[in-house]
Formats: sequence, C-alpha cells, structure tokens
Amino acid sequence: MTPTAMETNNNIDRLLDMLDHPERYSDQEILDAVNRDEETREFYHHLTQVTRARRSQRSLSQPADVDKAWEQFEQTHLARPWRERLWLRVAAAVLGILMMSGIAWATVYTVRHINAVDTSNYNSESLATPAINEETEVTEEKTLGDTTAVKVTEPVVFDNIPLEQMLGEIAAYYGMTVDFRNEEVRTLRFHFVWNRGDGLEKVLDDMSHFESVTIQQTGNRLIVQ
Amino acid sequence: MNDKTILEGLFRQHYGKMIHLARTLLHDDAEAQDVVQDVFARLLENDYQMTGSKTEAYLMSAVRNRCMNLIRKMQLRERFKHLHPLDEADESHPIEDVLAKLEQINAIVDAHIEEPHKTIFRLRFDEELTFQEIATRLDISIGTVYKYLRQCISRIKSFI
Repeated sequence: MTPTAMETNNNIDRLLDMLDHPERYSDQEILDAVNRDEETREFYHHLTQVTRARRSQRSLSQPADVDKAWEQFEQTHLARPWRERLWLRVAAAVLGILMMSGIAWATVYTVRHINAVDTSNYNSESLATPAINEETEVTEEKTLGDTTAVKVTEPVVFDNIPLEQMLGEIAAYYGMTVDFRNEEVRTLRFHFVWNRGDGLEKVLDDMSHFESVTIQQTGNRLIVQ
Repeated sequence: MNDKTILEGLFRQHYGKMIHLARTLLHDDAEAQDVVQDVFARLLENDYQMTGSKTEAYLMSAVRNRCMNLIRKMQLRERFKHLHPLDEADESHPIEDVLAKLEQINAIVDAHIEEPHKTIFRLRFDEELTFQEIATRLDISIGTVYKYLRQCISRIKSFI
C-alpha cells in the first residue's frame, strides 16, 4: 500500500468516526475532513448517493397513503368554502389589473452570471450563504402578505438560479418547451426578476442581456444556445 | 368539474411520485409529507396554469426545491450526520436522471456486494446503525467495520 493510499484510508476512517459523533467536532473540522483530499471528497459524495439510494428503496417498499394525505390536505387547506375562495381570487385578479395599470412593476436586473459552484473550492463561507432562492420560496413570502392583490403582479425573483431551472418555470408558464442546444449553459446561474404579467416576448428581450446565452423562440420551443 | 375536483385529481395522480422524491431527498418522513402538502398548498394560493405534460415536471421540481431549501437550512452537523450533500454542484441535474442513478446504485448493491460486506452495508444504510453499534453487534473491531465500508463504496464506485 502506498503512503498516499494509506493516508487516504486514514482520512476516510476519521471521517467515518466523525459520522458517529458529529457533535464532538466543529463545522470547520467536519469540512476540513471531507475536503482533505480528492478521494475523501469523492468518498463522501458516494456515501451521500448510497444513502439516498437506500432511502429511495425503503420509500418504494412502503406505499404512500394518498387517501390519508388528501384528507389531511382538505382539512388544513380547504376548510374555507371553495366558492368563497373563487370569488376572492376573481376580486384579487381585478385589483391586480387595476394596480398594474398604475404601477410599472417590470424592473429587470441582469447581473453577470456566476458559474456553477466549484466543488473543488467550497468552504464554510459559501455554505453559510445559501446561494439559491427559488420560486417556491418567493411565493411563500408572498402568501404571508395580507394583500391578496399584490400577489398577482408581484415579480418572481430568481436569485442566482441555474438557467435550466429558471427557464423551465418560465417556459412552463407560457406553455413553451425548452431545448438546450448547448449543455454547458444549463447550470449557469443568473439573477433575474420575472414579472408574470409580461408577455413572453418582453421576458425574452430582458433575458437577452444574459451574457454567454442566447434564447430564441421558434413556434412553441425556446432554443437555448 | 370545479377547481376542487381538478386539484384533487392532480393530488391523487402525482402524490406517489412526489412523496417518493421527498422521502429520497430528506431523512425525515414527516418532513417529506409536509413538503408535498406545502407544494399543493402553494398551488392553491397561486393561479398556476396546470397544463398536461408540464404538470408533473413542475410539481416534481417544486418538491425538489423545497427539499433542497430544507437541507440548506440545516446545521452543517445535521447535514453531515444524515449524509446530505454539503455542496449543491450536482443538484441541477434533471430529476429523472438523479433517480435513475440511485436505481443503478441499488442494482449494483444487489448484484455485487457479497458477505461479509453485505451485512455491514445493510446495518449501516438500511437499519441506520452507527459504526460503533455495528462493531458491537458483530463483535468485530471498529477498524474492520470502516475497512468493509470503504471496500463497499469502492466496489460500488467501480461499477458506476
């Protein structure tokens, strides 16, 4: 056994010991152990994959109780009469249109893209600042507000989100499909503010400011290069 | 058909796949259930146009996004303890590809992990014992448990 292989095995054994007692180590010590060398990092990656694989296996062996889940959903979220909800939504839409005519919401920021996270160089700092803030998170904040009207026109903020994910959501909204002709751009991250009141053309025009990406509409497809 | 019937239809059609994804990504079953409930609650709050083939992709990525948010909010120690990824470099792959890769791993484990490695693998990943508990149960040294586990991983790796 070469000294390097032996060292790697020692690193991995230390990592496994830490898994039994994470509370005995600081965040920095854990990160240092995972990133000590390429093999150890790769080993941790495979551990995460195997862990998921087995969770997936267990999940398949316990069928989900959809009746119970739906019942719970109904009780929690549909307690208010449905008809009343519908009227509220109609009222919200009308208010939304009134507000849209008065206020220009469409403010679009384009920031230089940031490349996909470099795995060889992550540290506690990059972990401490969650980079992704996706749509579901944003809508969560929206629903906390008490003005239903704003909800309709409030822009969706994509903050450092991979193009694939961002474009997927936008395309789905406009009933388009996305066709990546250049695989590399899928993971490029952008900042983008999407006003759902805008037409597709306007959105594509705003996105044309992204560096290193071109998006073209052909029929109901968005061709990305 | 009113809105509620449509929503119930969507719920019943997609719940199985959605809860499977959430259970795969999270270590806590109750949390996984909450994620799927929340995705549908969000749907109710917003006027999403649910159109045919896009619906499943939308719902599945909403589940993944929420799960990744929850993992991101965990303390580093908790992420590590439950073997969640510490970085997010590979979280942008299409969901079908991610799930297909996990199936591939399970197939490799079934076909190529033999005893005594198999027992150690099962105790760790299926019964979620600590390495110390495995060592005690099998009456072997903890160093041997580590060695078998390292060998399991490198064997799986060699087939990927």
